Amino acid sequence: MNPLRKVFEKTDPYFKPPGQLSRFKGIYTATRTFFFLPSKVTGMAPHVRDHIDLKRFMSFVILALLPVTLFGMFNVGYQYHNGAAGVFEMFYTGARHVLPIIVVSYGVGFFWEILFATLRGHEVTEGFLVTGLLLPLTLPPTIPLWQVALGISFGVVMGKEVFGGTGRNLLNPALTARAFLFFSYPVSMSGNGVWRLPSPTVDAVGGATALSVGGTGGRIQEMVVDAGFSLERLFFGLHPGSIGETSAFLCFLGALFLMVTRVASFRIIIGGIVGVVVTAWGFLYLPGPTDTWFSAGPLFHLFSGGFALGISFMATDPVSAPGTDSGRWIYGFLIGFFTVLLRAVNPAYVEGVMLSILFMNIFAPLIDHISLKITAGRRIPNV
Amino acid sequence: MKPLKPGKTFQSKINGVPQGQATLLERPKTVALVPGASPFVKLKLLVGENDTVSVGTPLLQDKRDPKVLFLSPGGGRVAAIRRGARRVVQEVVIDLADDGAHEPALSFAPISPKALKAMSRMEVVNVLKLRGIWPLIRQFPFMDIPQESNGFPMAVVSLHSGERFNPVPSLFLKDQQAAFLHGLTVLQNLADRVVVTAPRSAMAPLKALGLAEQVTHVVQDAYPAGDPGVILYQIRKSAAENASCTMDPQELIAMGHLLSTGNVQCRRIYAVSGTPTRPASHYQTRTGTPVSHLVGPLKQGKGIVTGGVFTGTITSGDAHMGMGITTATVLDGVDTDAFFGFAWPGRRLLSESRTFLSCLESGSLGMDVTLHGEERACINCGWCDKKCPVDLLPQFIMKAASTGEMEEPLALGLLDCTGCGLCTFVCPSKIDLAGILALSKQTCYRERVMP
Repeated sequence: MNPLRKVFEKTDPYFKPPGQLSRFKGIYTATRTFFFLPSKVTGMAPHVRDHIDLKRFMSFVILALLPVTLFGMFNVGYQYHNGAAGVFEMFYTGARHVLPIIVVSYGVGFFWEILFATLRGHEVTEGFLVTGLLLPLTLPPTIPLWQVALGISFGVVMGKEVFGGTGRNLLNPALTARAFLFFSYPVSMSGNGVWRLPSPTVDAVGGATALSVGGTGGRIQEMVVDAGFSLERLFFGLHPGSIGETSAFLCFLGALFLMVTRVASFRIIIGGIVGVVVTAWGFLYLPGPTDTWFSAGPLFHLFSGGFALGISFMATDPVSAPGTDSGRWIYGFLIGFFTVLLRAVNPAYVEGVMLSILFMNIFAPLIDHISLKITAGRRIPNV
Repeated sequence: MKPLKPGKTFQSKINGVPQGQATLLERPKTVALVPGASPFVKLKLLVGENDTVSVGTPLLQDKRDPKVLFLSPGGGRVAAIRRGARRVVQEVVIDLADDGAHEPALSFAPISPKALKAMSRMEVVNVLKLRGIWPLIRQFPFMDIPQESNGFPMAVVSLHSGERFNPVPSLFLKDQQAAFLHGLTVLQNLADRVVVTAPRSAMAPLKALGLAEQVTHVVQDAYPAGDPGVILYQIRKSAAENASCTMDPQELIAMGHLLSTGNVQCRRIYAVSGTPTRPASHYQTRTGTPVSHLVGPLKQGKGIVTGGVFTGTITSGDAHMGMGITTATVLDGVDTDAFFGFAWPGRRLLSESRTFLSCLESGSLGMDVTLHGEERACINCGWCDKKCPVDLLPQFIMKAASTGEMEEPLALGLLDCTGCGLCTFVCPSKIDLAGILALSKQTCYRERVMP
């Protein structure tokens, strides 16, 4: 017999309702079911059920995020050493700075999850496993840990729990957390100095992101390349930025994995990419400044900033996205559209992904409402 | 013969599909009348325990329409009357008279197809009610025993629902062609249009039986393409056709048999599937036979689902097979847990999703009657609507219904739901969508039909 099962069987009585520790049932059950996925006999038809459950569903998102996270750690180290160190040393440096952020995010977030689960008497839900990892990936590596704790607290409590918990939240909790930090602590979340760790070998100015380039005359595409952001570099991700956003390649690889396994809606992801391409291409033909992101063209828009991370992992959060297929196309497309629009016409705030996703989160119910009306109208009535 | 366009279906291959010819089982000691399925019928008992009955003696009566009778499937002594919650009659168990050759049976006047055509609809309906056949005709959308006296716009007879565990049409139609055709004549009298469907794989054997011409539509070889509700959804042209009716093909044969010979047909072909101790196959025995008689002795830790794995109920061995139910499936049925269950590669795990390695292989997989996870809140993933054969959006209907709303679910097509159960099957949050939709339909019925 599994020795762990023996331990659980001994401790079970303490956490069942008359037991002394029954108030901690939430966290106990969460731990127990993490190790032993329960499978009880079904009570109602259909008595046979699929093997998929929410734990596996969410683990697939985590699995898709792992390469992004590991590369993020490596890249933080790479930026610190400016590439002039061994692979392991760079990874180690990055991990030393990134892991504490992830640990704080998970630790503080789980505290709130468990608190609400205990107070409300429901199970601890798996959705937070994704939220707790997504937030660190959207943050700069220099973020103070107390701000991470504050951010994830706001994201979990105000972004999710006040609405009733997982499945009822209007906004993506990770992005709510990031938006809170962005507007409350702009010094830690923007500018040119925060995107790489302070390093003795590299000057602070070198820590700018591709999106901050522009506005100084000339052609934007050349300026971005001159600043060291060639398309390949933007695509593969060895440049400063938020921990998880730099490698468009790995983000899209994760997106592909989620689309193939159908965990994420391909309609949102493809819709978003089409939205960026069409809008960026449209702006190329509109009269406007050639030295800002207005004229950057589709590829630079796709591979720079947080678009790849956002469309792959944030926009595809099914809870805050529309539930109808046509709605998902529209939602995805408009995220792409607003991302480029914000970058193009608002040089003061070039990183538009976060806000466009949050903005479309708010519109998701309306999109669903309209699309449901149309769907219902097409049916032969049966009332 | 028109092929229907392919719709959304259950894709995985499953183990324990019944094979081969129908084996004749010995005569059971008891049979029972199990009125079952319709939740709206209120029944009045016409016999008491220890009364002597014949095959064809009325045992139950529908309180709403006293002319609707339920006839005894066996001759002998009423051994027990089993009641469920709120004293609803679940089974009237009859100890069969010892000697099989002298089982008492009532006989009725035979009605030839010619006489049938000359009869008015009301006359036919009255005959069917008094001879215990009327309760086997079910009317959409509530699948209730039909109440209205005007004709059905359409009658759907599906020879196979597409679920692999159902009896194969050619087995129960063998030597019953005349009764089947007679049954169809009855339906033609009752309905403006009779639709008979069969899956593609059943067409060659049907041709050999000389029944291929009767099939009006050919459907996919997959569940629930042959579900009568799905077929109605695919071929209906107007809202008026929503009041169509359907009948199980074996009950249609029994109806034809009763009208053409005057005797109640007590034989049925049952499919036993899953992992029973006897081979998973077809068995011929009495209507309302004990479940244990059909599936054989049961091993520890097994459960029996009767009436299809997606729509049926878990039944104990000493219960009897219900009216219109022709499958019994034996599956593993004990509470279990899986160590790091969420992380298994899952080469042998049945799933309609693409999150297990089994999706890369084409082998057939085992089923069991456990939940494989815990219930969670809906995360709006939309996997349910990717499986709905009648293009509903179960998650939205479920949410609207759970607020007590009725107009919104109706507008979204709630009444088209056939209860196939695939939405519940695939739900990663383990929400009982099909159950919630069924409950909502019942509420709608109570508000509307039952004043």
